[in-house]
Amino acid sequence: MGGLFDRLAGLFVALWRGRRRIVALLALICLGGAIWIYIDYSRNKAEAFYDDPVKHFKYGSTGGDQLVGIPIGIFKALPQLCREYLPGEGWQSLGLLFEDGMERPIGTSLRRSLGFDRVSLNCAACHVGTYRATPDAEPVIVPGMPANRLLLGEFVRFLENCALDERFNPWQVIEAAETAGARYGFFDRMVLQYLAVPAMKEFLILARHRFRFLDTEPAPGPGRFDTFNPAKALLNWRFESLPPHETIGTVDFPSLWLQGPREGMQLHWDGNNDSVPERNRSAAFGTGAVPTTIDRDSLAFIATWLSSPRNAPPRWPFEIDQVLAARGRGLYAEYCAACHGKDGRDFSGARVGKVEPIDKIATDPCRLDNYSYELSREQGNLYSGYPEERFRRFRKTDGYANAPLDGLWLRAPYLHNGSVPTLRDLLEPSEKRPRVFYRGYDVVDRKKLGFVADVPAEKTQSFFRYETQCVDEPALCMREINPENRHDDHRCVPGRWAGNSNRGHEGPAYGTDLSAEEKDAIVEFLKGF
Amino acid sequence: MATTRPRRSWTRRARIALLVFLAVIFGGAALVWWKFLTPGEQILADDQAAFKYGSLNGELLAGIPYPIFMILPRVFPDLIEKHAAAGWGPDKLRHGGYGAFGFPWEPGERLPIGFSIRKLGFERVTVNCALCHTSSYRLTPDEQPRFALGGPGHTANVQALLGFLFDAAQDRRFTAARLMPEIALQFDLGWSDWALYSFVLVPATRIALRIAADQMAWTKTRPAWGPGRDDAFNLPKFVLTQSKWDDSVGNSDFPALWRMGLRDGHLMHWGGEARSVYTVVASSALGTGATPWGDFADRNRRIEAYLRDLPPPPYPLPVDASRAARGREIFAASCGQCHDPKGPRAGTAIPLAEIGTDPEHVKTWTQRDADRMNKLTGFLGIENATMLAAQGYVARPLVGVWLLAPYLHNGSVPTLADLLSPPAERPAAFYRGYDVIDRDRIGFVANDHAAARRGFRFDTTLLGNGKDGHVYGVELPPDDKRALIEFLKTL
Repeated sequence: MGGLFDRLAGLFVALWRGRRRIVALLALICLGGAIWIYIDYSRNKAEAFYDDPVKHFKYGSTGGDQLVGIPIGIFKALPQLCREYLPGEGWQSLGLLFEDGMERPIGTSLRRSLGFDRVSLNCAACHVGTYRATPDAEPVIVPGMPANRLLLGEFVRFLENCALDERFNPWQVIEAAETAGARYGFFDRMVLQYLAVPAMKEFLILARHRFRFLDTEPAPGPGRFDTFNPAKALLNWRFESLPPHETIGTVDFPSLWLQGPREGMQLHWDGNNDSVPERNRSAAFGTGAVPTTIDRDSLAFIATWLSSPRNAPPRWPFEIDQVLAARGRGLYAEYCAACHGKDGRDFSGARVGKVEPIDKIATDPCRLDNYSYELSREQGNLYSGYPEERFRRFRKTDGYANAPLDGLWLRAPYLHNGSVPTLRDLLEPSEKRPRVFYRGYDVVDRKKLGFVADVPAEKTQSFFRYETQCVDEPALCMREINPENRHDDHRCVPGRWAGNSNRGHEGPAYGTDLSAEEKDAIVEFLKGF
Repeated sequence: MATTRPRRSWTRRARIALLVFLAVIFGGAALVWWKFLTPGEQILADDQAAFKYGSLNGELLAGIPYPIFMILPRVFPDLIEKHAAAGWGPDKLRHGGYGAFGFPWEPGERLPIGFSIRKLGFERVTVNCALCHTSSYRLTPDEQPRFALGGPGHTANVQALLGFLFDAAQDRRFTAARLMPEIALQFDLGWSDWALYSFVLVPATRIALRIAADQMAWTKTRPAWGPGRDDAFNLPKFVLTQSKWDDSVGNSDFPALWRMGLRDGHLMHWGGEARSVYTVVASSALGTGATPWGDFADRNRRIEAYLRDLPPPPYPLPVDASRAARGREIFAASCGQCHDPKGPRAGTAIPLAEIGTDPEHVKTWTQRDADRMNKLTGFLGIENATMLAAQGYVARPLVGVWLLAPYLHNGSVPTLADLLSPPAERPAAFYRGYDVIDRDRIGFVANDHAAARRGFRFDTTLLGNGKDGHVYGVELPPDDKRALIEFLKTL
């Protein structure tokens, strides 16, 4: 190496002395430029907020931005470039939440890598929600709450549609980014034009293929997505050859409060893993954080926050009828506490965090069937390049896990598939629960506990019509294979409403036979959780 | 002075050249050692873990780099499907990586039982005894499988695994350009490892698999092994001793390895091709690619010791004790001669003319083949590895017989009740590889709707698959047969 350097230096001196100073200068400039570009493109640092855990949770990185991050200029430009693929104006129309003083929405991270400031989603995208006291009030943003307004399915669809559109070519994308305020130098422009934008397009086309399960699943709507079909996509399973009952896995986003006491419980809706760190790494895949890109420091900081006792849900901000609630307390202790914990902070109970067999709980079986024994086995070789982090705790279960009820008032609609709009409805037998309602509206229903679910639209925004089964269209109902969305043998029946059934969690043991007053009392007590 | 100078300079140059030459040789050797041959230790809790995941030291010749092996199912899901489904019913699961080939896979493990991952320069995957000798069984279709170590791997489709790997190596996608990004999602490769994989390991693996495919091409013209079987003696004959390919078909079931201590002094293998358990272990290990030096003999002895007393799982359902007691008497009278471990004919080869079962397997291994093999093992310096010609079919103790279905050496009779029926009444075709216990007939469910949808169709009319012979006990009255079967559950 030393010899080579001496020779180059010698060459340079010879050029300088030999009246070829221009050549020498040019060579020097090129060398300097190359070094600068190398240093610039090797920079890999995410925006972090280690002094403010909540802010870091909302805006910190999982590391996925190194793999799937979009240069922020382009991220800002896409809603304009492909606006007809959005339900409304801007990223807001997909339910992404913006706060004052931040140029990017909650649930995104920003990282300098490969020469650009790149944006991608983080945990908070799916786990920060909003509520309003009245339709006129400003939404209150609640970290850790299920993202009740996020249209993640539409978000994926938007990116795919945009990438397939002919406007998604380097020239128009760069122009749109500059219109939205980005400024690129010559070299960055070259990289965008010949590498980055074509690579993005190719990546999104690949993603569209791997995520083709979205084509055959009932629309998730706001606040829901599929958890384990993306894992199958990562393993490149051929969805076409899977048994039909295993194909649908749409579920609600869960809350992320108080993860500390949850360690050792059976996590995920079907309780397929009892390790919080493994659950976190598994979920991080959803943000693009694969073993070689995951940001271990940042994720550890987020995980510590999520497990801290301070990461607790806000209290019910309205009045509680204490007399009625006191009556509800006794009923809750009798009917609910063994499975759901003593109250909203004390999760003790014989069956809390354990799996309830499907023939007892009898709720929609699609998500349970979607997570198969075969998947639990093949997940064993994820993270296998990192022995300490390898997945070891995934198991196939036979039912759904009993979850603690902290912050219950912000977790509507209820059940794993979000098929029951309010708690009062959940205390009714399934025939009396609403067969159709609207999701995505965030005004609290103070009486029935949940969100107001009978509002189809507000101003320019229309909400998601959630059908638990075939309704109102006799001709259609005649044609469909499973119009009542029945699953009497606890096996998922694919079809138009698959995964959306509101059956189950009913019968004398579940309190659906109680009197109306008793049910009201339980609901009143649950407001305090 | 002027004349000596150039001479001095010449010697100096020669010395420098020699030094550079030596530096390159030693440096290169050190690099090769570091990148390709640094051995690593496996951490295995006990003998059982060693049996499931331990290496037989086959990494040098038969080891596939683990990062490549691991991501192949993700690059070639269509080939997984093709090989997992060929010959099987329409509901056969055809996804889930290497699990699709019926290998028992414990959740939380990197690969199914029977695969070892050990470092030799880099992590390499090899197979061990447990690949073919672990049984999977279920009491009902809804429960998750239970695994019995040392049992016959009746669901393990080794031919499908090989077919998948060989097809992948012939596929245009088997390039560094396609494999490296997939590997890079899971493994943190530095630039030197990236280059090593791109320019050496991916191409070398591809070439090695193609060579192996040529070596195994003789299987294409013969009936499929299907799950739970291989061509046990044509493999060493054609591959190890490089004998000329003939027309023989020796497809036979993977046997159980339980309580091998009962077999002292017995002939081994289906046809009596060996005289001791050690010989079987040593020659089988050689077949998985184990290099026959270093701790080869020690390890074989450890495996032999582990298998001496390895028990089968007890029959998991209630047994009618009084009926079984009556069955014991019938067994002693009708079967004990050959199948009681102490019986006078136990561990001897029953001549073909007498036993009457399918003769093809015996025909694959003649004295000449045994001689060639012995020459090879002698050359490699393997002791106690003398093979004999196949002489008939060996009468074995029936340890764990309730889990040994399908029966006979070629797995041509699905249940014990069928085996106690005259050959004409045994099913002409049935389904293998479905692991739900048949509680009435003892064996695996082989002919109902579910088995037909999820099993591998076994046709007894194909060469080597004949269901004839072993016409013992077929004349017993039905009550006696039931009693006998009840007793057999307890073995």
